[in-house]
Parts: sequence; structure tokens; C-alpha cells
Amino acid sequence: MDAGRSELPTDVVVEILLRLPPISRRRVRLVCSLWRDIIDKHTTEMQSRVTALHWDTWVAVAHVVDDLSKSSTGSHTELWLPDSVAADFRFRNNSSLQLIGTCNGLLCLCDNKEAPGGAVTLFNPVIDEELPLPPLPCTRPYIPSVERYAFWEDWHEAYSFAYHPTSGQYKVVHVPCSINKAYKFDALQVLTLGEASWREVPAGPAEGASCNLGAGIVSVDGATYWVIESAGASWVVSLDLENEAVTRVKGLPGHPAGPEHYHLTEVHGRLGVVVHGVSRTTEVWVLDEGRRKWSCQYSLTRHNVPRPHFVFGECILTLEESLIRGYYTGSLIRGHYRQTGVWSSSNKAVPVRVSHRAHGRPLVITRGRGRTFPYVKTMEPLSIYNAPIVNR
Amino acid sequence: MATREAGKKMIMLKSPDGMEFEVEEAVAMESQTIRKMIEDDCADTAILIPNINSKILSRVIEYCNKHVPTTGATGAAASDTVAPAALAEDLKIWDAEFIKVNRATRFNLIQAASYLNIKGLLDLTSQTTIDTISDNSLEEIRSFLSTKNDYLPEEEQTIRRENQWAFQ
Repeated sequence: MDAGRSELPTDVVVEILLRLPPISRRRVRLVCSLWRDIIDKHTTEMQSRVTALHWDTWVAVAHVVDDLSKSSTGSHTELWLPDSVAADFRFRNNSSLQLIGTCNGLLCLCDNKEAPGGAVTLFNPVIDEELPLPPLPCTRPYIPSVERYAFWEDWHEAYSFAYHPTSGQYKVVHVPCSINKAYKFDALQVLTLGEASWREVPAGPAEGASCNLGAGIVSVDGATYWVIESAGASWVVSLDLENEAVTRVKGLPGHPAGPEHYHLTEVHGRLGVVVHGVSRTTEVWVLDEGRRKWSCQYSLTRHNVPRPHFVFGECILTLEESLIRGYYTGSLIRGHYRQTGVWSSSNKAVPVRVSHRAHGRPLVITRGRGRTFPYVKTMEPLSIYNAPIVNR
Repeated sequence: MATREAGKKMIMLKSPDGMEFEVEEAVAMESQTIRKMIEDDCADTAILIPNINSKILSRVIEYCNKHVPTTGATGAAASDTVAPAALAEDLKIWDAEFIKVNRATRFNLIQAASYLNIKGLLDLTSQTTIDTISDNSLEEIRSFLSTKNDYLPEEEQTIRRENQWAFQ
């Protein structure tokens, strides 16, 4: 048999690709254009539209905006969460249940009442499947902080839920930082979905450096990013999700005035940094593909943006928080499109401007503070990862 | 064991390399393609199977022989002594043994199963490839299936974004 014969005829490729589980179908669109065309023609895999999910950190409720396009009416639907991940509440504190992040329509939740590290669960609301992940391995005894009796510890803030587009693997990353003074995780921990336990990964240049968890941990296109403070300077570091190496990427753009004046975001598949400047101007800097240069791609005047995701295709989300006598009373997410007050140029070097006159369209109103993430309906099963939980 | 009844209709299958295989009609009709030919009366005494060489065709016939539903006198006799579950288990072991072939043969079998429209054989032969695709990197998939990456770097970036629903 000559080598050329191992190339399969198109009808056979179709037979095989249609038999693939949904999780593999999307990934193999990268093999070659013929495969992509087959997937796009014969399956509904890529026809789902991405929308925004708003997570209310106060009451642990997720709302999904029904339509994010320009013709949106602003209607939204509450996502049903299973009883097994029900939140606990304490007086004047966020719920114990928090959303770490979303990937391709899968939700990664963390229940902060489990200590240390919280209890992490994956959930697909469309097919109502959930997958509890094994607990973080602990190398030292956990000493609860005094505040623990009044507040949940924010364990969820040290995690990121990530998808690697070419390997098709999902990973949960736990970044080494001091969540509270009483407990410190020394190394980076990674859990690959389908494996039974967490693995330790050398933190490389991030080792021993203090991490600005307030800026968030964002996973974009096969890498997880966070910010470390080292020798008086701030650096973006990344974990490559394929070879699991930590590298120092770049210094921060836009000269933020302090660690509380910036946070990480994702813009069209790239890493972004939202910098709050003086005179209520917000600039959004995006890292180029080669990860060498930042460019300012959005400039908003007297508008705040929801965290961590605020750019959804053509739609830009802004956040309005209402305070009465210093007390937080609610938040309103608005969607902005290319219209009055939003100005964009075909020249990519010129940032999209959202002026203070832009009103946008009200999309979600909530009582509690919130987070926004991309969401898409998916049939992707979680049962295929059902690895036994190993207790150390 | 019951002997083959004299009345059983036989069909001649011919491979393009000139080999002829005489098989029972019921066995040949495991293939939906051949079944249709027979039902439409397009089949003479011999059916030429294009693109499938004698080596592959003989293996396909071997599969059909094993998987043809055992009905009539022989079937009744078999089910008296062997439970259906045990038969299914036996068939599974047989299938696992059958599919222990090299890659080129397996691809030829997929192609034959696809052309002859034999669902069971198609499921069996494509499963290994499905597992390979699910478990390997894109580069490994390409080399395994002799496919070339024909994307420009920008196109590849676009698809990566599409796959993560991060639209431009």
C-alpha cells in the first residue's frame, strides 16, 4: 500500500467527523480547511451565538442576556443552578458560592465555605451535568483566620478556568498567592480535566513574588495571565497551558496609579488591561499576538466597565453602580454599539471611544455587585471526565 | 450442526482485481448498497464491487458472515444452547480481534464500509480513528491522516478565536 492511499476520501472523513464527540469537533476545525468546512456544513457546532452572563456575587444568581446584538431588547434569563451547589449566606457578605469563570458554555464554580481552597465544581446548565473537582492538596495545616467567622475567604479569586484551543484540554489553574495571612500556597497548581488530582507546576519567575489578585486572573487563547509585584515593578506573567511553563510577559501599560487602578480582561481573544486614569477616563490596552506590544484600543469617558469581560463582539458593556449615602444599592449593565457617543475608526491604531454622552441600552439590573463572562449554550458533556476523586 | 439448505441463494461478488467470491445472499445483504441492488433487480449473478481489492473484500465478507443474523434452523439450534448475551460477548471479542489490522487496511475497510454501507463495520473501523483524533495533538492528527495544514497564520488565528467564541 503506497503512502498516498492513507489519505481518506472526503466521504469517509465526513463519516468520521460526524461521529466525533462535540468537544473534539470544534478543535479539529484547526486541522485543515476541508475539516472545518465539513464541521461547519454538517453540524450545528459553530452556530451558537456568544452572549454575556452576569453573575451576582451577592446572591449567587446567574443571568444570561438573551440577545447581545444591536436589536437586543435587553431581556435576560436566569440560569438554573443545581441544589448541590447552593450558596450559603452571611450577614453583609457575599454568598459563599462564586463563579470562577466560563469556557465554551461550561461554568466553573467555587464554594468558599470549604476551606482551604474552596470546593470547585464544573457545571453545564444546558444538559444539567455537574462535575465536582478534587480538593486542592494541602501541604500545611490550615489555620482559619479570625475574620472567617464573619466573612468567607475569597478562595475563588486565586483560580482560573481555561481552555487550550489546539489540545482541546480544559484546565483549572490555582495561582500561588497568599489568599489570607494564615494560609499560603507555595507553588502553582494545575488540574487537567479528566485527571484524578492536581499537579504542582514550578512558578518560575512568579515564585516568591507577591501577586495582585485584585487585578484578576484571566485565561486567553491557551495561556493564563496574572500580575505580580516584583522589586517595585508590576509584571504580567503567564502560564502556557500546553507546556505549563511560567514566563514573564510584559510590564503594565498605561501607567496605572496603583494596584487598585487596573485589572485584566480579554478582548477578542487577546489579553487586555483596563486602566482607570485621572478625570474618570478608562483606557483599555490590548497585547498584540506576538505579546510584544500594548496598544490602546478603547477609551471610555465617565464610564466604568464590568469585570472581567466587557467586550462581546461589537457590543461594549459599561457598568453603572448606584450608591445612596455611601451604601451600594444596585448595578446596571448597559450595552453600547456603534451609535451616538460611540466612535470607532477603521484604523485599528485609533481606539474606540465611548463618550460620556453614550447611553447604550440597559441590559441587566441587579441588586448586588456582579461579574460578566462570555456564555454560549453547549451540549458538551462533563460525564466524559468522570475521574475518581483521590483523597490524599 | 445443520447443513446448508440447498435452496439458499448464492451471489457472486467480484473485486476489480479479478477475484470472485461466492456468498449467501443474506450475507451480501448486510451491505445496504448490495441489498438495494438486489431488491432493485440490478444484480445479475455477479456483482462487481469497484475500488475494493480482493484482500479487503474478503475481510468485509468475513465480517458480514460473522454478523449476519442467525435465523431459521441454524439460528434456533444455536439459541437453544447459547444465551444471547454470551453471543453478543463472543461477537465483541471477535470484533476486537478482527480490527487488529494495520492503518492502511483499516482506512481501506472504512472506505469499503462507507461505500457498501455496512453500519456495524463502519462503527467498528472508524472508532480507532475517532479515538486517535480525540487523544492526539493537531500535528499528530495531520500526520496520522496525511492531511496538510493549509491555513495561513491569520486564518489559523481567526479559527482559534471562533473556537473559543471570541469574535473579532
